[in-house]
This record gives sequence, structure tokens and C-alpha cells, in this order.
Amino acid sequence: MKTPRAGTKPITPAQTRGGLFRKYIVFFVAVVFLALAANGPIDIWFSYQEQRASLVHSQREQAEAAAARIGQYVKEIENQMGWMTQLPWSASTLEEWRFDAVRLLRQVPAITELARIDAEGREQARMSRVAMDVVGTQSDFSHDPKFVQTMASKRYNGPVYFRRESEPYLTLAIAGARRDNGIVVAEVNLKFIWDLVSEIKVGKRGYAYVVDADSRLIAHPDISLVLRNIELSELAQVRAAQLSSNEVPPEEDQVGTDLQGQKVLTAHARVPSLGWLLFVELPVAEAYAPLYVSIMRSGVLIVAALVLAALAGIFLARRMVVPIRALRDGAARIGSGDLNQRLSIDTGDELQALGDQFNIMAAKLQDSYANLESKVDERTHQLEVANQAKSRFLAAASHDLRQPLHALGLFVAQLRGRIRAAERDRIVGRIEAAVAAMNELFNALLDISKLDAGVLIPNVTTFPAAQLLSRIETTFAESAREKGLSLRAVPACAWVRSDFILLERILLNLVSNALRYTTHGGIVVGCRKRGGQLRIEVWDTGSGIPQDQREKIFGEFYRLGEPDHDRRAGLGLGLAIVDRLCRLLNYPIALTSTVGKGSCFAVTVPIGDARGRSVDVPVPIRVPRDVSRGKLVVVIDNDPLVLDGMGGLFRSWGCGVVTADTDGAAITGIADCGHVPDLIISDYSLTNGKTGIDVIARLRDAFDTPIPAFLMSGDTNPEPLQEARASGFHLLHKPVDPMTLRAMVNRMLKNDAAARVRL
Amino acid sequence: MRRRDILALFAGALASRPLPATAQPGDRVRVIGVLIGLTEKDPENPLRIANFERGLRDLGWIDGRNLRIHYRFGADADRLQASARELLALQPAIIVASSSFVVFELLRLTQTIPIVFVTAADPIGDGFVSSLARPGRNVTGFTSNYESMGGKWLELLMEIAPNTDRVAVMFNPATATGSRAYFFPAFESAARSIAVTPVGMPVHNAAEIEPVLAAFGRAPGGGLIVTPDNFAAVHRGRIVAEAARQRVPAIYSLRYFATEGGLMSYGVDLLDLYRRAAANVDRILKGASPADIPVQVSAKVDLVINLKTANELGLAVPRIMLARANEVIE
Repeated sequence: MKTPRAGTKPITPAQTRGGLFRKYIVFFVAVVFLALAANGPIDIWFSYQEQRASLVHSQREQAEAAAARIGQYVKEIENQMGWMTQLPWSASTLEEWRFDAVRLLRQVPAITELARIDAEGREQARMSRVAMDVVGTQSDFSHDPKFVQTMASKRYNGPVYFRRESEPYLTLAIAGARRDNGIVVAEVNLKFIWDLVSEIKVGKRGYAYVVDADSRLIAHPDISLVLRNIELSELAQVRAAQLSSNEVPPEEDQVGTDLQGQKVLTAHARVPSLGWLLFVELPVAEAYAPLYVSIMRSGVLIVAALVLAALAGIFLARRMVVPIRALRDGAARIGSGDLNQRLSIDTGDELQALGDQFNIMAAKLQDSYANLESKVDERTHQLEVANQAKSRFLAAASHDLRQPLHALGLFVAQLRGRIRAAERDRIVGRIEAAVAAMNELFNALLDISKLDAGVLIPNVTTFPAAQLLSRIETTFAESAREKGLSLRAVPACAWVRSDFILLERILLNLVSNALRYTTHGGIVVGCRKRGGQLRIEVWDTGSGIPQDQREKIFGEFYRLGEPDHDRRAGLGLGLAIVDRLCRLLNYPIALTSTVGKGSCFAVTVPIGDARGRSVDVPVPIRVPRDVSRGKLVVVIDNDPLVLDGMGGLFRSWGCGVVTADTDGAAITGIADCGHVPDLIISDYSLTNGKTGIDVIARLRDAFDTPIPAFLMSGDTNPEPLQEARASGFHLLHKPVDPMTLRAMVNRMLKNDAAARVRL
Repeated sequence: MRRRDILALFAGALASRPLPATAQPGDRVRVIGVLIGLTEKDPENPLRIANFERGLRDLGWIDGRNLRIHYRFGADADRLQASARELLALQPAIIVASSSFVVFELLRLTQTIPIVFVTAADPIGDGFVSSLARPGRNVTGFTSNYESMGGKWLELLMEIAPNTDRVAVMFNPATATGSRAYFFPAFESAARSIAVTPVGMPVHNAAEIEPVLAAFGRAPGGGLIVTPDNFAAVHRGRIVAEAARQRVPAIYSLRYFATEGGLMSYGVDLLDLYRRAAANVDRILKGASPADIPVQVSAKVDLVINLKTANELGLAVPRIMLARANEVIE
């Protein structure tokens, strides 16, 4: 392809550059990103849930444990106080009671003050950690709520209060087993609860705190918050916890806001019997810190994976795209005619296989190009050889024609002189010989011409080989005898399936040839069966054919040996005709020869099936009855000499003759005779481009009768022969032997007569 | 979990990295001062320092690593003034003061540098804070905070020495200005309620200790109460020794009086307060203002009885006293 046409314009690289490369990378990155992006949040979601659940769970456990401890602590104080009300109050038990009180104060540092109030609500004794103990003050507490409630329900715990606005205190009171035992009242410093609460550690910044039933803060690691005596009911989780008697808060309440306004995970528990709530809270920021780390890790992982994916994509795309580009570029170069282009792809995979296939394709393309060129060279050479052969053929033909023509000229000149009758007869005999030689040559040339023109169509029949062989033997018996040679045809019983005339022509040529080159000994013609075929062999004891000439002898005008070129040695066309006939009939021809001993030509023909076959042999032409006498013959030719000769010949046969060079002249001539012609003989090629076919048709039209007619022609070109044949008219080739002419005329006239009788 | 929680989660991931470290000790070396109102050689000092540093260490503050602690001492006003100036020159973040007297001297030099007092009998009365819950100035700390202790000391003294009929309260008017007014009313009313004669015993300098006690001890039936006072702490050796010489049963406010030969002590655990003072230092170092840190009342009140001294005085310690005592020295 030198210049690409519009329709096959190759895709320019610019249109596709990098497309696959980008797609690969984008695809890789997208796949990895999707996988990670899907995994990350799911992972985080589950760890969030688990982390949160476990944190809240742990917080609730701590809250419950701490609440239980507070409850237990208070319970123990109450139990101790219960011992102190075992006995009714009296002066005799004062010392014992004091002792118990001192021991209790000693054991429980949180108790700052203990008081004993009798059943009438009179204070009998008060033991203090920071003030002087007093006995028998008789202060009246009978209407004090702590006394009233304690007497009513055996125990009492008052609201948390603050001494000097800073110390949280709780009043606990226990009634005795019997009503007249009175009650014991303890002022309990709640700092112990602060210590307890301070010990609760949740994570790094988690903490616990306690609110009382009025949502006042009573314990917090940050004591200053407690000392400020703040109220926490504005915190959602505290409010919700106060409202719900349920121990386990619902899911939604696990997140709250602390006093600083930061979000916290919160859990709470109720302190038994005191109505307090203990909260354990952890800032959400810390609770989720592992999650944030996880998110960051996921992010880093995603970024790293994306980079890796991009690198992998680049790597794979390079592995894919570089060989593909090499293929594309290679294909483009081959497309532009560079068949030497080879690819080097060394990837060890399908791409390498593709590249290898590509190289094989290119190599084959290159080979077939070279092959084509050599074929063209060969064919050109063949044409040249054929051309040379044609030239040689023409030269030989013209030479062989010139010789008898030259002889004829000499003989005709002798006839003009005064010569004796005997001498004249001898010269006429020589002239006839020269004419016969020329005739033979022209017939041979015509055979070759017809064979080359392909106008011969074999008429295949089945006939006995013996019939053919006997005709050959008969034909050449005389010639062989004259040369002193023996000729024998070995009898055969086989039938062959062939064109009788063409096969006879082959054998005639072979035997003629054998006779020509054999000077002593003889010729044998025989048959052998070979499978389903019959091999007809012609043996001679001639000079033999050298190895190097065995191909050439089948060429035209090739004669073996004699430099003196005896005319009797033949025209050199016999084997050429044999060769062409065999090719036409598709018969193998074989030659074996030994120089000085003789040769054998063998033709292999198919064996025919003899059953039910009648012998169908062309019968020899009977000597015809002379039907031509008195008939009017029209001869049309553009050569006056031919017209003259033909006219004389027909008149000598007793026919009426009209000769003309055109159809018009013929009609005029016929009109002069006043007779419808019995036969039209026309040359094929006439003047003004008319053909004999046209003229015959014109005359037939003119007389409105299908006057018998045939054509004659001096042409050897295949086209006129084929045209003439297509027209259905018989065609005789010039020069026409007078006997042949008479036979044809008689046949025509006889057929016509028969047709008329039938009519 | 709602969507905004998820969003908050992601936002948190971005916003909270790194986790807030502003409250973490160890960012840089902080400088604090400690001013103790004793002589530099007082054997009590190492105990206080050890407890204080232990408290700090529990909170992540380590002297020499992220904290530089400068200790200064001063048993009298002049010495304290000089030490305070030295400390202030170091520009400490906080000064820890051992007693009201030290705070008083410090407040004469600075109104801005945070001061944490380990113990002050009456911080409101001394004008250090406006209220215990909200100090409101640059001073906060711990207090025993019970004016009723005047009666308690008397009761305990009477319990171990029932034959006492007059009890004196020793104080230095210069160093314990508030102390006398603070404890005395409760003491006086309690004394009258049990027919004991209350006696004020002002001591103006160390030299007066022996003569005053000798004069008091000349008559039998005398008892002595030594209220919390920097002066008494500094001169505790002479006071305890003179009380023994005069055979006067005495009760003190701090343990080391008893361990050094005093009959008994009833009051706050001072070393515990040094440990707890570290918590206030920690909070101030982390940015809290002393004005917002409530003054805490020490809930721990210990009774220490020196049986040896009691025997020397010929006093039989009642069973109930031993039951009440947190510590008995034999």
C-alpha cells in the first residue's frame, strides 16, 4: 500500500494514545478504592457499636458496683447505729453508750456527730468529733422531721446539706428495736463518697459522680463542683434517670452532655435505699479515640492501597499497553509496506504469542510477495519462450512453404519452354508432388491451429482396438515395404473408449514418425492392459532419441538429426500434433528410447465397455455417384485467381458456375443464368468486412430457398474458425485438395437431394 | 446510631487528633515555690516535703523532670519576708504556704501569684478568702475550720486530767491573730459550762515562753491548750519542755507536739494535707484559678496520746480515751 485510500485510512495513533493505559489505571484504582471504601466504614461501624456497647456495659458495671458499695457503707453505719439503740436510754447506760459512740466514731471517720434522742424527742447525749461532748441537753426534737420520720419508719436519711456551704453532710437516723429506746442520729460527712467516686476510673478522662434525689451534685472528682452545691437537673441524662425508675436506661440515653458541655457516654445506677443516682461518664472523644485511630488507619490504608493500586495499574498497563503499542506500530509499518518489520515482545504470555503470530504473518506476507514476483518472472519468461517458439514456428513454416513454392516456380518455367511430352509428364508429376507437399504442410499446420484454437471437440465412442490397429497397419504397409522395413500390429481384443479419428491421428503420426527414423529392422504396434486402461505402444528399431532431446521432439518443426534436411524426413509437426491431441484427450504419453537401438512411444487410453455395443466405425467413404453434373454452383471469393481456378475446376466437372467477389455480383451473375443455384461456396473473409456467412444468408434470402452452402477459408486464426463453426456451415481450409472439394460438393448436393425427396 | 452521630464521629476523628494534651503534665518544666514557716533545720521539713512530692508524683509531677520545686524556710517574719522575696524572684507558678502566718507574709508581697496554704485555721477571718466555696482571690488551701474545736480540746484535756480547774490557751498575738478570736469563744463557753476557769495566755516571743508557763504552773490544777500557731510550731520544743517541767497537762493541735513529748494532740493530719495540697497545685498548674478552687475542710481529725508523758504527769488515761485515740505513743 503506497498511499492509503480514504476508506482504509489507518487510525492515527493520536486518536488512541494512552486510552488503554488510563482505563487500566482508573479501573484498578476504582476497584481497590471501592473495596476499601466499602470495607472501612463497615469495619468502623461495627467497631463503633462494639466499642460503645462494651464501654457502656463496663461503665454500668462500675456504676452499679460503686452504688452498691455506697449502699453497703451506709447500711453498715446504720447497722452500727442499730446496736446503739438496743437498750432504752437511762443514766446507767450512759457510759456504755458513750463507749459505743466513741468506738463508732473511731471506726467510721465519716461520722462527725452522734446524738441520742429518747422516745419523747429529747436529746440525751451528743458526741462530736469537733465539739465538746454533751449529755442531757434535753433539747426538744419531737417535732423535728428526722425524729418524726425515724419514729414512723425506723430509719431516716435527710437531704444532703452543706456545712459552711462546703462540706456535704447527710443526717442518718435509726430507731431502736423498741419504741421507747428512742433514736440515734448521725451526721455523716460524705467526703468518703467523694473518695469512692474519685477512685472510679474509666479510661483516661472518665469519671463518676453522684446526685441526690433532688439532682444536687453530692460527689464528684472535682470537689470544687460539689462544694459549689450545684444542681444537675438540666443535664438530660440526670433528668431522664430521675424520671425513670427503670434500672437500665434505653439505648438513646447512653450519650449525654456533661457540665463542660462535652459529649459523654453515660451510665448510671441507683444507690440502694438513699435514692441517689451514681453516674459514670466517659467523654465521647476519648471513648471513640480508638475509632478515630481506626478511621485514620483506614484512611492511610486507603491512600496507601490507592497508591499501590495505581502503581500496579501502571505496571500492568505498561505490560499490556507497551506490547500492544508495539503491535500497533508494527502493523502500521507493515501497512505502509515495510515487510521487513518484526516485533520483539518478550512478555512470556499471550501477548508474546500474538507478537510471534504477527511476525509469522509478516514473514508469510513477505514470502508470498517474493513468490508472486518470481511467478510473474516465470510467467513472463514462459511468454517470452512461447513468443520465441511462435517466431521459430513462423520461420520454419515459411521456410518449409518457400521450398516447394520455389520448386514450383522452376517447374512452371520449364513448362513454358519447348519440352518433350515425357519430360512434361515428369515435370507435371513433380509439380503435383510439390503441391502435395505443400498441402500436407498446410493440413498439418491446420491441425495444430485447430488444436490450439480448441475448436476440436472429441467425439468419444467405444470401439475395438483391433479395428484401429488394422487400419494403421493397412495405411503404412506399402510405405514400410518400400523402405524394406517390417510393420506388424499385434492383434488385440480390448475395446477402447475414445475419439476414433483423433486416436487414429495420434497413432498415424507415431507410426509415420517411426517409419521416418527407422532405416532397418521394423515397427511393432501393440497393446497392453494396465488396470482399467490400455497402453498402445509403437516400437521401432530406429536411431533412438538422446535424453536431452526427449522434451524438444514434441515441439513444432523439430527434427531429429539430419542437418541436410531431407524433405522426406518430415515436417517436424507430427509429434507436436500428437502432443496436442494427447493433451486434448488427456492421455498420458510415455517415451522410452535407447540411442542406436530404437524407441517406444506409448499412449495410455481408457478401456471401453464392450457389452451391448455395436461396432461403430466410420465406414470408408464410398466413391460417390456423380451428382454434380449439370448443377449451378455459385463461388464467391475476393481472390480472382481462386475464382478462376475454381470456375475452371467446376466446369471440368460438368457444372454451371457463377463466380463473384460480392453477393451483389453473385446475384447479378445468377440472374444471367436464370436458374436458382444448387450450391453456394463462399470464402469466409470477404471485402468490406463481410463474411461468407452474411453472403450465404443474403443469397438464401434473395432466392427464399435454403440453398446448400459451405465455407472455405485460408484463415488459421482461431476466431473465424470458431465463428464459422458456430454458424453451422461446413468449412474447408485452403488449400483445398480437388478431391476433397469434390467429395464435399457431392455430399452437399446429395444431402440436398435426399432432403428434397423427403419433402 | 443516627447519621449525625456518624458524621460527628468522622468530624471527631479529624478534630481530635492528637488527643487534647493541654492538661497533661510534662509539656515544659514548671517552677513552683514552697515556703515553710519553720527553721530550715526543723526535722519536720523532710516529712512535709516527702509527702508533698509524693502527692505531686501521684499526679504526674516530678521534681527535676517537669517541675522545679524551690523550698524556702523562715521561722520569723523577717526571715519569711526574705525567703518570700527570693521565691518571687524565681517567678514561680505557685507558692505553697505552710500556715496562715506564711500566707499573711506572702500576701504582703504579691496579690497575683497563686498561693496554696496547707493549713489555715480561719482563712475567712484572716481575710485570705471571701468564702470557702469561692475563695475569690489568689489564695486557696485547707482548713480545720471548726471554731468548736476550742471546746473539744478542753473536753479532751479534762477527760485525761479531770482535776484541772483552770485552763490556759497559749497564743502569740502576732502570729495567730485570727486563731485566738476563732477558737476562744467556744473554749470559753465550754470552760464555764464545766466550771473551769478559762485563761488567755498570750506569748509575744520565745523568751516569754518559760516565764509565762512557770508563772501559770506555780499553782496546781492548771491545764494548757496550745492552738494552731506558727509561733508554737517553731518553738514547740521549748513549750513542751516547759509544760513538762511545770507538770502542766497540755493538749496541742498537731501530732508532732505529742511525738516530741507533748501529752496529747487533737487536730488535722498535717502530712496528709501536704499530700492533698499537691492536688490544688496540680489544678492550678493545669490552668485553674485559685479563686475558683474551694477551700477544703479537713475531715480527718486525729487524737494522739503520749502515754509516757501521761505517766510522768501521773495521769491515768481512761479506757474511753484509749478507744478514741488514733495513735498512742508509749
